[in-house]
Amino acid sequence: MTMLYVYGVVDSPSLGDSPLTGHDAASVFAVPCGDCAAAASNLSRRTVVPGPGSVWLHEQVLEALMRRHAVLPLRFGTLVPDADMLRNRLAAMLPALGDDLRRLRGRVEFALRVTGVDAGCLRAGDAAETNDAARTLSPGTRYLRAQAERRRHRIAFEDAARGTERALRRHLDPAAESAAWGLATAQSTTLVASYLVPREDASAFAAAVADVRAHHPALEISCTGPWAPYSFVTVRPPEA
Amino acid sequence: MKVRIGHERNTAIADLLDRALSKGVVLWGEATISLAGVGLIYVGLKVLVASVETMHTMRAVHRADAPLLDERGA
Repeated sequence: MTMLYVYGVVDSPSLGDSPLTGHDAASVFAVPCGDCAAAASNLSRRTVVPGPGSVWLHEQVLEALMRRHAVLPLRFGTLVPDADMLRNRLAAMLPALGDDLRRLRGRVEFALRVTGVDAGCLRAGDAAETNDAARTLSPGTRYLRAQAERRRHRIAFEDAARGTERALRRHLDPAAESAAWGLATAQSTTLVASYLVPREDASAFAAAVADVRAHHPALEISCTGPWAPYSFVTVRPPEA
Repeated sequence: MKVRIGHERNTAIADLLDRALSKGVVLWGEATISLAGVGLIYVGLKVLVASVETMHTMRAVHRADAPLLDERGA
């Protein structure tokens, strides 16, 4: 069964003249809907295995489209049985898609990872288990005390993380249009951030990151991009 | 051009996976059915995405010679 793999939505009914190649070396074509179009290619299978190569190909198609259009990236792996179903779904989302396309036109995303945030907090928590005095307690009491101490240190870490975020944002936010910060996972010690930056300001943003790194040598700060603006899409699918 | 500041190149792949697998436009909602042991999630019969566990596994097993980004240090 042939499916349509959908890469993104562009602010034009056509994709332009330059040929684009997608998964399985299939041509990428437009599925128009109103003033927009979905960029899609035929796929003669029902799944695309997510991996660095296939995800990177998805991104490459989006970046090629972004050279000529405003583009909303679709989540990797979006498969649709046929063009009519895709058009119907796009039609139901068209006003919101249009709003996002206008807002994100000419914008790219940068990704930040920050580690080394007051790591002493967590090491102190681990030390609680090996404390000699604690060994004299019953196993249950020792367990509960260790849990409480871990919790206290986790709270201290999260306070330190918020402080680090505030310090970095003072430097970085003025160089960007929008930002979203958080922990990589609930119990992670890595701060992650997404920054929305006008494409023409990408070099200035990279310079701001380099400046922040110089001012915070104790932190490990990575920055990659520019990516399609995945993190700043706000359109949601209609309720089924 | 890809900007990469001061970290190994796998960071770029991890950052891209974080975004492409869990963000971006979703056409058919986010109700998911986990296929235990496979690590993939179908959304209806139309959308296939990777679970968080799959993403972590992919990061762990990603080889240094896998397809790379067009990147240059800044």
